[in-house]
Amino acid sequence: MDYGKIPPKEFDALTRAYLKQYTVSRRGFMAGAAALTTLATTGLPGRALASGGTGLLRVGRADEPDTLDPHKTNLSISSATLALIVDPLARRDLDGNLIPGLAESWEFSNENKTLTFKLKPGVVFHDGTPLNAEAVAWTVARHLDPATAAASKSFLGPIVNAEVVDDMLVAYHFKDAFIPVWVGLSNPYTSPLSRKAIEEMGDRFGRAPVGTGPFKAVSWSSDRGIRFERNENYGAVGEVPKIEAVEFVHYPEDTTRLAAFETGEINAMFHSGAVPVNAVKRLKGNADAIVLERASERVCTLMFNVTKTHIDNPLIRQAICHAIDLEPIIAFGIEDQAIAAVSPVGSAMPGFSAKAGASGYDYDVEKAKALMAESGVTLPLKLELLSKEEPITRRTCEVIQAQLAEIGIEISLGLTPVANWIKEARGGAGDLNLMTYSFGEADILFTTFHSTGSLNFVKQDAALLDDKLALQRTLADPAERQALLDELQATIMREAWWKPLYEPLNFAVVSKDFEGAALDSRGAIRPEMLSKKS
Amino acid sequence: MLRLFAARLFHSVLILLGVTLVVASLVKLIPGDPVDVIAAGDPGMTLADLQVLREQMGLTKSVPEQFVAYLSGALQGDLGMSIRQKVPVAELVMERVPATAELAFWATLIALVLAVPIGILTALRRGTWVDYSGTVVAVLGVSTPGFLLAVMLILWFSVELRLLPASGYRGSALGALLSGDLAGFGTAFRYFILPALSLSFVMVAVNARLIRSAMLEVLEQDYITFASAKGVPRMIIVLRHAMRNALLPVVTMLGLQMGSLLSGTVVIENVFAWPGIGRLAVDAIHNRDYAVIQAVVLISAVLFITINLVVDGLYRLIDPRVRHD
Repeated sequence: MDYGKIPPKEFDALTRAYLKQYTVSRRGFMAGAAALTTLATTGLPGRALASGGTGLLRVGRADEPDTLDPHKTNLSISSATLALIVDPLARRDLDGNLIPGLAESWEFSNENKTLTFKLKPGVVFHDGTPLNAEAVAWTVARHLDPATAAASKSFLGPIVNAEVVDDMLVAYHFKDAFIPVWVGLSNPYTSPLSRKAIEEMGDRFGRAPVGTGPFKAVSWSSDRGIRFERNENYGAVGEVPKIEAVEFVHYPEDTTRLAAFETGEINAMFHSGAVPVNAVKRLKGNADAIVLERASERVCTLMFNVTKTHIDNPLIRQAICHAIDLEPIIAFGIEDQAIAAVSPVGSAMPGFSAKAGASGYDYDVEKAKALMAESGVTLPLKLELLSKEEPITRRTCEVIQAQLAEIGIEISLGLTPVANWIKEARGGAGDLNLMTYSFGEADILFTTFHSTGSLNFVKQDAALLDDKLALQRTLADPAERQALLDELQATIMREAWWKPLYEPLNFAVVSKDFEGAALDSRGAIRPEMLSKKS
Repeated sequence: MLRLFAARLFHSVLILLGVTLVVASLVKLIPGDPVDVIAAGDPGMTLADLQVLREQMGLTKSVPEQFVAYLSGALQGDLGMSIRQKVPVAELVMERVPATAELAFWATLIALVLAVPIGILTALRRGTWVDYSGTVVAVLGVSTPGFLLAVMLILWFSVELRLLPASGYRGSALGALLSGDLAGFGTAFRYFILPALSLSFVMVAVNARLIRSAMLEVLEQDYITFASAKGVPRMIIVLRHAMRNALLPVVTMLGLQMGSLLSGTVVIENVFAWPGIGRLAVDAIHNRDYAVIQAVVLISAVLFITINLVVDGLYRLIDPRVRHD
């Protein structure tokens, strides 16, 4: 399909549909619905009570950003934090629908290779400088400038440049008509920034960023964490937040973070694993806590290194897949806070193939034993399983170790810090590797199976998948691309290169002192929608 | 005296140079580099992207080249830029040193305040229940891991009793005290109590046993017997004559304990979310932030050497018999 020939309005609808698909999937919707049921007692998402107007939200997190310069980071914790202080031109609502951000409208032209935004009038950055087309174009130019060495440049897609049309009109010119355009342009990384602030602060901008968002950065110190205060001038963009300030405090230890919540030192936990899965049941029993959950874009999977003797035998790989029972793995490995994975691509990700599971090998110990006997291997077969050292991974590996022992496979575990494990796995170490990835699209298959992919630990013959993995990146027709993705996922399952295990859920906790809490598609609570009970 | 001080300073510089060299070499032995860590969090990166990042970060240079560049920068006060946080390392480290230094100060003070009376009492009441209780405290102190004690203190004093904050730091208690702000001192000090107790427990145990042994030895000296025979009150004998001599090994031990105190902060600061260099070190190692790791070790070495120089000075103050040529 030639997307340059589609009428702009239809093309716009296609880009929105893509974004919607990107955000909500079958299971994502179900989990979202469950979260909404939880919310029934506290108010619907986005309908914060008009009362209140004061209050400090102190959020405990397990990680902290590297920098808050949107062009210099690609960490999810940074992106989640930036969402409070910057505004993209268009944004996603809680359900993934595209809604205006700093732009009040936009239209495609030039065979859908130009996207022209009309900016909302009267918007100012936190430092008082006006938001206009020049500021937007300058931000894009900085993002693309090689001197910036932007880690998040790919979020702009195949952009050529941004051109000032008039004071409030800015045109983004792309090399090609680009369906997934909103995935990047609704992300905080691509939000307009204050040129004056960047030129004045230089490298310091990453510690005190200046955007247009509902909150403005006030301080970031090692002892007090990050503090944002309400942007009283936010009215030109959206509703002014009801709470006065948000503080993000970094608690590396789960026990301390939980104790801080239970003693009232913090009143929320969200973003990037802030809620330990082994504490979810306890928190659900806490009368002062609202626990929210939603499907995430993560998958934990077992990967077979086919360059190793024995693992190169498909019978043994199939036997291992048959010997793995997901139920106890989810129960003991991740405390039941996940759903079973049926495909290499997570069910909450666009491109997920519901049919792929049928090509896999379900739990059947007898069949596994028969396959081991058929392979002719001498038992016990000794294999090495590598992964990163952290509690959930360890428990998951230990359950797998016990299950494979039943079919005569002795697993030795090699659990090391993440950088060490990645280096070893990339170098071809380990018969088996266990990984949990986080990614928003089926293109994860390129990274994990293409011969140039940085996380290809299977190392299968490049001729088998490389061409198809490259092709799926270029197909603009959603149906055609999905068919190819279905085929790829089925092949991976049939060849038993991966045994997908589970998809962890996202969790967030907020004190019952607050109303209006809801989890968005990225697994975060939006503080601008909260109000404190009076 | 000046000559001695100059010689010690010269030795200290050599030690720091050695430490820098060893750390610069050791950090490269840690498997994986910062780019591996970034790749672990960003599956969208290809192997080519990783190579470009390595070149941008200067990780493709040889270890000697990187060391020379680091050393020449360090001599000019430039400890480099944090790979992860993109800010000067010196700024990151100096922001955190006061919190760690003050935590170490309060931990040492608590350890002495508890260890000295326990040590003296157990020596004076040798073989009684007081002595046995002191032994129990010592065994518990030495055998209880710091992180376990820390978590237990949080669960008991914060979660159950709601007496003290579970974590965090609210500025310098010492600073507030010295400026006469008693309310500020009270607020800030509450945050020090649990982490300082966790850190000091092992020091209490070791020092109490050390004081006990030293006191027992001193109390059997002829001059103590002579003082008793002269009719000097028991309290004066213990506090003025015996304790002063018994404290000499403790002062030496305190200097050495600074090393374990600094390493102890690595664990305790993480448990209590304390914004010190221990926590910075853990984050830096996790992220392979080489410049920060080197700076933290360098600053820790400077602190350790400085404290031991001070201890040497104190030793001379407490015992005038000690003279160095």
